[in-house]
Amino acid sequence: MPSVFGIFSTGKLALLTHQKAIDVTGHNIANADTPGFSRQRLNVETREPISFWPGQMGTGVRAAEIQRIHDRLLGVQINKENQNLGRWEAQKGGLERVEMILDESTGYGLNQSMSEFWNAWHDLADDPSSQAARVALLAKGQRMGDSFQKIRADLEQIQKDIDTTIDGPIKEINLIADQIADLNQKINQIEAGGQNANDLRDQRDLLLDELSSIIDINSFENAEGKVTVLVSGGRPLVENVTSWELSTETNASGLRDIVWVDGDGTTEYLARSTTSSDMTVLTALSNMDAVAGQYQVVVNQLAQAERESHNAGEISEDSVINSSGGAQTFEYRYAGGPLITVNVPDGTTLSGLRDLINNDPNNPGVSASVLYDGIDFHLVLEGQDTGAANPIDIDPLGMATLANYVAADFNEIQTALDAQMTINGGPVVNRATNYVTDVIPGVTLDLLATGNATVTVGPDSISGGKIKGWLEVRDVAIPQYLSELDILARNMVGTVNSVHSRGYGLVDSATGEPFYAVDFFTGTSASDIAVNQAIVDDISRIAASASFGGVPGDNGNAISVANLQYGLTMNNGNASFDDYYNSLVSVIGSESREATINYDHESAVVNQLSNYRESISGVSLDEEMVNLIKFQHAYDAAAKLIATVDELLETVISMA
Amino acid sequence: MRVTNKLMADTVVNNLFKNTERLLRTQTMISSGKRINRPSDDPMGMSQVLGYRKTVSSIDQYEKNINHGVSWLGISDSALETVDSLLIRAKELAVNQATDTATAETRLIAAEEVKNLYDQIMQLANSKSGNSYIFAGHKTDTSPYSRDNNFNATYNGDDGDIRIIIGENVEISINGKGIDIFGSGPGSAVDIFDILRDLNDGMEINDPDAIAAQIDLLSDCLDQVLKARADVGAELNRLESTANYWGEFKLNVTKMLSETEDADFTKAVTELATQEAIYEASLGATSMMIQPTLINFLM
Repeated sequence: MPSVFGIFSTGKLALLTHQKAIDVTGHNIANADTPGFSRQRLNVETREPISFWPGQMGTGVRAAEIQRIHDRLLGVQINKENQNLGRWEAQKGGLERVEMILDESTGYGLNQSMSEFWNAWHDLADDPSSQAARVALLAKGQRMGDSFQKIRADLEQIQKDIDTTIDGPIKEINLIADQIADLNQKINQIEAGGQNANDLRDQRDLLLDELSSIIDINSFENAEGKVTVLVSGGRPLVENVTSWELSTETNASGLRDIVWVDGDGTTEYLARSTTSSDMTVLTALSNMDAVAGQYQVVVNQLAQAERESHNAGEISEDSVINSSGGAQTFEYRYAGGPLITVNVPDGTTLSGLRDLINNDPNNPGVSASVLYDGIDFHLVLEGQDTGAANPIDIDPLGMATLANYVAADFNEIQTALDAQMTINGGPVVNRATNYVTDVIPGVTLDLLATGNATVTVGPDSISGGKIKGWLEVRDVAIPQYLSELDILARNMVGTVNSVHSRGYGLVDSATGEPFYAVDFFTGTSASDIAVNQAIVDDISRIAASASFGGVPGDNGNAISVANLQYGLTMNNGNASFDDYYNSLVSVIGSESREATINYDHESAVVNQLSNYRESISGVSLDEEMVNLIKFQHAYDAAAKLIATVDELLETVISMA
Repeated sequence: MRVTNKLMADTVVNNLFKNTERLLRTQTMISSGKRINRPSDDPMGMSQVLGYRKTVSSIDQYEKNINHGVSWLGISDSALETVDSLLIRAKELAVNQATDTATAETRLIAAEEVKNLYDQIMQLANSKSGNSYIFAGHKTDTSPYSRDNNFNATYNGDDGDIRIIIGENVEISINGKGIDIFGSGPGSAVDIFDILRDLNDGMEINDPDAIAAQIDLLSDCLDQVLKARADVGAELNRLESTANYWGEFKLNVTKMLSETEDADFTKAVTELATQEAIYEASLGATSMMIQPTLINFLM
């Protein structure tokens, strides 16, 4: 029978264990509001019993481990949704700013100033000799030009602002990566000792959460409890206890490209995604110099190497082709290079000639082979390089002595050709090879067949997080708006000028004759559209009259210009200036709305998941209070146990 | 589901934000009076709004053009009306002075009146609207008619058409060309000034036949002026009916613009009231919900 002292030990262990449990409860209560904290639980188990009569005798309780209540899978899921949330949040923010610039709701936007511009032409038509109408028209023209320029400058400013913003999160990413690497090490050390690094793991999870809202990451944990974090494109950010850095580099358009810095300091560009609409025609790759956009590539002709085939052929590979009794020569020239003379000894077979050509140390790049066409065996020579500059010229001097293997015996079965293509309908470009690196800046094309394909250079391969959203606004949305605005301004300039310059201004006092018309606008885009300085200097140059002799009463040209507002001059004759601009505003509104809807949706999803995580890992004060009372009672009871044993002992001692 | 205090607090805060956001949106709608406050509120609607605004602005301009045309034609009409009465007087004189009862004396007196009529008609032919001579064709800066001492008139204008835009690709001519109405030029219509000159000459030299010869010609003049007045009247009518059309059209477009763009006040205010009630209720519920925990009952 175990001694009474054994019960002391059971009591003491129960006291200690429940004290620990109260401790853990205290920790939970203390951290009820700590971000990222997962509630912890003291797992207890019974100690090894001792075998005794009448049976196994328990020896009390033991604290086994402190466990955090956590769902790893949920964490990964939240990370993933966080990336989307960050992306839409950033995109929403950027597009809302764009919307404000194109604010037409108050009626003071470009739409308004275009209307006023056309109306000013009506006023001039009503009174073509009036100085007042001319002054007003000049002012409206200038205002419209200013509106274009202002909108464009504002859009570019947003682009720049977003660009500047990118530096901050990049620093944050690097800081977090450092911290995660540090935590990896600590967690590994603690857990190697058999304990759970609960709080450190919570911290690390929180960092992963933060990271995933900035950029798309992929993280997994190895057996040692260390997480590996990969960023877009699969480049490591944290591995074991090492962290890498991201940085920015300024690209050709003056904007920041995000690069991954290798351990030795070399940077690697987080490549742009580049796709070809028809992979059978060509494939495409790009580097950081590539400008996001679409390129229409028409491949008219592929580059090919020259092939020459022996016409007559031989009965067998082993047919002797030199039975003259002495050495003869086979001669050719490749790519306009020096004459190559192959010595063909007496008794050389067809395959022997092939080998002589191939093994010739002077061979400049021609490979010989023997092809069987079902009847005969033909010697075939093929140049190694494609391109029109690389033909094979057999027996160029007519001096070769190997009978039946001179110029006339060969047939060109494939001509050496350059690859020919056009990009975006531009001039025909010739290249010697099908591997074209220098036609679209930063894009490498691999031509596979003739035909059409659209190469789309997308923005960086970063696929999530705030950075993605910013890049989408900076590299896709704003450039598109800018280009549409430019097209509108350019068409406006061109169309108004072409009509205006057919008319006549008022009488020039210097010559006594009407001014011949000049362009009304100068400029070629939204950034430089302005009223021609000549007109600003002298409004008499505004050409209201359609006839030389009709000045000043003729308003024909003013009417023609005023009528341009109805002309379907945009979108290949499908839209007026107003239609075009209104649809641009509508597109911007739709994209902003879409970003908002996506953001709302994602935040609901993340919210739901966070709630779910909170439900699993969060601290419930009610629960902790119940536990506290439970542990307190157990602690009280254990103390009572010791007191009782004490009394028992006293009883025993008093027996003496 | 295991509900923790933080979960409860987060959810409550989230929902409160949602409520306030909705409140803000409705309040913005009411304070701005507009349903569409930025393009993303309704991209299609915004595009329609821009279209309607453009249409309204164009109609305003058409109305302005039409007013200009009406004033121009109005001046023409009143000038021609006076010319008409002056010609009638000239014809009266011709008829009277062609008779045998007239004498060299009366004819000389009448000749003076004819000269006056001549000058008055020339003055009317040189009428201006603002700074522009209305019967001068494109030469609006030049007075179209002048005469020498022998009452030989010269037309200094041209036959240029002056049009105004009264609708999308719809133009209307608003100027009667002097050469067509008053004559004085090679190949021109009935030449009022020459006829009046001949009448004057006939009276001065006391030649009843020469005077009588002008009577029919003066009738032709009257016909010609009448025709010009009919043209002006027709154009005025057309402008008037176009103005009416645009007036009604603008009313419709403005209505559509308002329907697309403006907030429905009754609806918005009702919504605001409902949302406020919901917000208050959720605030009340929150204050009750967050307070009690087990701790309150342990103490």
